[in-house]
Amino acid sequence: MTTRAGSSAGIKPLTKRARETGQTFVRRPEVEAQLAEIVALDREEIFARLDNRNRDSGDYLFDETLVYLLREARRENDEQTVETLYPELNRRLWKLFKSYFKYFDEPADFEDFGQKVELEIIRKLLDVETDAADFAEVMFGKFVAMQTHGAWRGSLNRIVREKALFQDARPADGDDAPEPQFESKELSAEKRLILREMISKLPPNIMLVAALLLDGWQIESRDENEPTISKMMNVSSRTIRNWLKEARRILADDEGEKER
Amino acid sequence: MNEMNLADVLEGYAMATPEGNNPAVLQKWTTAYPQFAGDLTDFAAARAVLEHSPAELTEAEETRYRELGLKNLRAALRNAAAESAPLASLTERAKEKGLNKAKLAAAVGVSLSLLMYLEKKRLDFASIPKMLVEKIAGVLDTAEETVSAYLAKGPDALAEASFYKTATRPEEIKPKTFADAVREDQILSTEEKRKLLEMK
Repeated sequence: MTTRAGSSAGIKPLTKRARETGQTFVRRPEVEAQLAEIVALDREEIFARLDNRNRDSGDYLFDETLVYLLREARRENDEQTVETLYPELNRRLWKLFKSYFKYFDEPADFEDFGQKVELEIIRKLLDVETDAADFAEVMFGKFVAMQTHGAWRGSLNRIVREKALFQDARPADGDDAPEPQFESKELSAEKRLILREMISKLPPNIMLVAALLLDGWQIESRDENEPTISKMMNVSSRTIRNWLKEARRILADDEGEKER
Repeated sequence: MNEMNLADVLEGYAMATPEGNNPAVLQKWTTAYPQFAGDLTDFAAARAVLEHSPAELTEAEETRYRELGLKNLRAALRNAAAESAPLASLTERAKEKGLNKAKLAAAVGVSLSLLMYLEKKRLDFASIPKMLVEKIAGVLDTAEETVSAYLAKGPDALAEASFYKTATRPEEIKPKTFADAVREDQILSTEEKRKLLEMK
């Protein structure tokens, strides 16, 4: 890792170009500013900052900064520094992976998923001969989502299939059933708050519906090209509405528990 | 427009929506790149899960995942070192890992004769299932790209020349397809053949 002698001018620029626009990738200004500061520190000072987990602190290292430092150490074949830096990135990776925990039946399946994705991420980050991992220095969280989406989809399909089968086996709700609470085009601030609070209490299929609603997705659309929750999950809009009713029951039960 | 691969498309969509998913922008991208529409939608959903279901690790989980991570990191570093040298032989690499030819064949799930077809690069590379390449790479603890590069090279010139008694080659021997080699195999059971032929 180049230290002391480094300066903002010594920060290795990204070289990958966005295919659509032809523009070279750039890091966020705050990451560039942190890198300018960090390359002037000596190794021990940088390592000490790995312990700071307070995201609001000025000393907190951005994910993208960690990726840069890791790749620089790799370029210099400094395995000891790579091994010292990596555990903090590993912790942040698994914290992100854990958002998918509910989508796996067994903890061992979740671990397999995490390990597979982690290995792929490490392989990409360590490949300093190409610019394939430049995006990780631009938007680390989205880089992680890119690596997880395929591996997670398989497990998601199975869960959705099982839940939809269960749903189909139940008596159908009448067409005069009350309109679902979360079906408006734009969620009200109050509904968003309720969804955010309850999301972790929901089973995985409904958890995903809630996350997508919070993201502004529609359950269904007349426009056949519009990505919808129904299409993404490959279930009917009726099934999704029934899941949302189930969500309200879960929430009501939870509220009842609290009052008791 | 430049030809876009999956990574280009996902990165492009992510950069077009730095603050979070935007269904209208997502629709624009899925319409522009229908061949990646499924991946774009899954990626957007994966982002939504990360954004709206944040999770914390317990101390025990942190310790456990740290151990797994360091193991992964060291394996990747070892692999990267091994990758810098191209693979000279599947069976030689297996020997370094304590596997003889029979054990390598069993670990990969092929017969000895099929293994030798692979070792001698006598199979049409395009016909070899990716899953099998992945399996070989896993057993040899090396990168898939390294195994692919080895298998795609085709028979060695020297080995080919020594195959003939005369210096001139009678005619170009067309490499066999993987499926043909499996079907003609005398050792594999019907079930084993079926599994191999179903590999993608």
